[in-house]
Amino acid sequence: MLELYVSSVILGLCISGILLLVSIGISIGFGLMRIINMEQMVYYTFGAYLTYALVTWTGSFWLGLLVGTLVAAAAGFLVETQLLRRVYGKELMFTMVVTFSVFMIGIGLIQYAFGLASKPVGQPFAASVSLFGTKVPVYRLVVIVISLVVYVLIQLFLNKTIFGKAIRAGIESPDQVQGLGINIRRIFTITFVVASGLAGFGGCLHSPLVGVRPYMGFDMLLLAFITVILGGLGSLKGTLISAAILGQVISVGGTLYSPLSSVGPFIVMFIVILLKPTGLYGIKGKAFGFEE
Amino acid sequence: MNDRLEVLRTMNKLIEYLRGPFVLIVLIVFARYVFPSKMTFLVEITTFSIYIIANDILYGYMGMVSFGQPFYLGVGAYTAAIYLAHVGHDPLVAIVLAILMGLVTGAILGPAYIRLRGDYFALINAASCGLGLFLVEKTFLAFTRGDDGLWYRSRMHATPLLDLRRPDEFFWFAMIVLFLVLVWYTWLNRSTLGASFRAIKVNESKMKFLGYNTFVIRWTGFTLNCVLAALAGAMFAVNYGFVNPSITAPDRAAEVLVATLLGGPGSIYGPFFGTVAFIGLRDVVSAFVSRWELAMGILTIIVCFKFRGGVWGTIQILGNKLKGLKGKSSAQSA
Amino acid sequence: MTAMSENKRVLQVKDLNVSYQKLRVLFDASIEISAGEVVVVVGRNGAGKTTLFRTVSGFLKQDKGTILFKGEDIGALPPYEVALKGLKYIQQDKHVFADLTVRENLELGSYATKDYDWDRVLEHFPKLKTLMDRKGGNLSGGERQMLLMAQSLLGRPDLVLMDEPTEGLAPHVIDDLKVAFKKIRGQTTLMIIEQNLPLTAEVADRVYAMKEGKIVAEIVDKQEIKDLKFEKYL
Repeated sequence: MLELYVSSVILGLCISGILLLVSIGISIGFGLMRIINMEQMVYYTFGAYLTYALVTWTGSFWLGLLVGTLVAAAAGFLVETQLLRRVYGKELMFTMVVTFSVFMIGIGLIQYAFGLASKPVGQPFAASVSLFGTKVPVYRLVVIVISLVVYVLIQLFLNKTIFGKAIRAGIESPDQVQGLGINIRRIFTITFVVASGLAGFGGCLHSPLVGVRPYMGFDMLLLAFITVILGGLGSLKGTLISAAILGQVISVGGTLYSPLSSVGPFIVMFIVILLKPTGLYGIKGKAFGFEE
Repeated sequence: MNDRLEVLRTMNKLIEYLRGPFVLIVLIVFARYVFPSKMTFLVEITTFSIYIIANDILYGYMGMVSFGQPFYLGVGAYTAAIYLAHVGHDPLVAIVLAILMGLVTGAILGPAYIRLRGDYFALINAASCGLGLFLVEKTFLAFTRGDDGLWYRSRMHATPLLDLRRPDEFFWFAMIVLFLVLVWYTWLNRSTLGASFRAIKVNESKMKFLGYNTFVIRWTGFTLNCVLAALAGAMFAVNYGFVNPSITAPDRAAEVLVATLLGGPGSIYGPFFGTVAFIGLRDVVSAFVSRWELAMGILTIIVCFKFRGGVWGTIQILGNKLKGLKGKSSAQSA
Repeated sequence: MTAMSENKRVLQVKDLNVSYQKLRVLFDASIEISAGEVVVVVGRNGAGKTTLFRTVSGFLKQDKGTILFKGEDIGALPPYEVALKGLKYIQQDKHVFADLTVRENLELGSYATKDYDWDRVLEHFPKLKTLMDRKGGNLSGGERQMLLMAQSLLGRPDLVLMDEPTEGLAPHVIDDLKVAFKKIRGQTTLMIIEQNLPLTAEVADRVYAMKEGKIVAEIVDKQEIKDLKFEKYL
């Protein structure tokens, strides 16, 4: 029995890694820019599809990873500079509907380019290792390690670089950052590009584990929402812990009782917000359009 | 003498509440006879506008954004459908059960959801909408038949006075329901309850300071939303004779918000005109374009940026201009 | 960022009109500040003082009117550019970046202005030197005000706007601040919003009194200021 659980735990950590990568954008995007960007999973989907495309054409998964991430970041740049600029400071519903529409457009484009059918992406490592008596696919371990490395890098970035400090300051008070002579809009753009790149990266990594389909971002979006609600909007640590918890709930919970893999995360989140409405590590302050 | 004055005053007030909805119903009936082929369309917009009124209580009055309205629609639709498919035969009972289920949903989810800050509220509704879809598609497969959909038209029995199984008689039923809902909605617009909803949007702490229990007020508004959305869902279920999971799917969450925005939030007839505009737009677009995600996405963005006051707001502005007043619509000042 | 020259007009505001949505809050406000002065703006709550400051520093857009800073029209500039030109604004809420240390707060201030001469800036606030590694959230009100003032001096600004700097501070802390004001005026020009009238009497060269969105009086006579004669305008 232990073998089954070891396998589940590893898979759970793997899912946590992907969740972390795609949710950072929503969490920090809210923290800094005070918007909920519903189209975050467009970048995830683009990343996944480009990986599929490049694997099919060139056979190289790593090239697909690179291109997918870059294209996702480029798309993020486009969306931020053309659209989001006009949306900052507007009320929540407006922002959500507009960004959701971008999501729909993105899905439409994918359908146009690739069709509706689900496409498989081969895993770059077919090998497995023996861990605690079970065979664990190497690729899953790689995903876990990569996600942790990314997390550490982001923490370093936020804590050690002047840019990261400006972002942390901007999360507290964008006005005051401007008052110091720093162009906060440029910081928004760069943060957003990084976030969308991360989501794309997550999509690339995830593609061998699930099939790529046009609506794959949708399921991920709802999971990402649960992750950020549980962890608290605006907190990187909250997103990490939340992703870790939910990954296990989905994986181990699903092994115990199948529907738990979908219902479990929601229930966990529900219970937590009953006790703490801002999530585990939520920051103060709100999206535009709301009173205290 | 005073009694007669009181009676006259009450009658006057009653007429005020009844006048507007009556005119709208007459217009719809008129349209139904002038364009008989459009009757299905008219029934659809009638039902959908009740769904939008539900959202408008949440958003237009209280300023709460829910990105998961299909969940509440689905609660009503599937309650009615499961009843008709497995338990009983009477469409009216199905509708009543759906309304009760809406009440229960509001009562249970309310205390948790309404305490959330606006952005969390929007997200948790989106998440529960996704959950609802999963429950309907997989977990309760035995009752809902999942993706195949639930078909029960043959099981429905006739109802007294109007046979709801027949489209042209359902049309009258929809008219009656819409009339009643609109009269109530007109009352809400002028009532203390409605005012307290709006006041909470503007300054909740002040309301608390004045002694209002804002938790209960919010809960009430939220439950009203659940109930009305469930009613709309049940009407869809009875009218179509079948349901499938797409009625509760989260990708249709945005259309509710767009229709609300199009109509102009917080006004009595905004939901109706917003529905007309939205469904009209959607039907036109899907007639020409097969990739509706792309088209609707682009159109929604254009609509959002161009039509801030909504259709009803624009109509009101035009109306005021015609009357010679400066064009400030009541929708904007709400 | 030049050294002060006599009677050079640092700030000229003409007929400024500002509204929040449809509500007008500032009516035809006109102000002139010369280099090296300490000018205090007094008025009741809601008189429009903060609105004036926020508009001058670029956080609000005026409906009508011009804002000339060192002769240049800054009315259309975003706040960060206004700051880079040498006009700094310290907000009323004494908010420092809580998650960052004092050192990091200063680093941010130096980043855009490229001014790393912390000795010059901390000279008037020696206490800060002992607090370099403390997080902003753990500073007292007085310490925060000092940090904000030190931060604003980076880049050698020509004008610093301070919104109620002594609000909520203990008397002995206010005394320290008074000393700091007097020392700073050699480096820059100050425009301060204050409700603390005795303090105003002590530090102000000139006083503008505001009421209900309008500037109702300008008092230039030092004796009148000391005698708080401007109270009647409030």
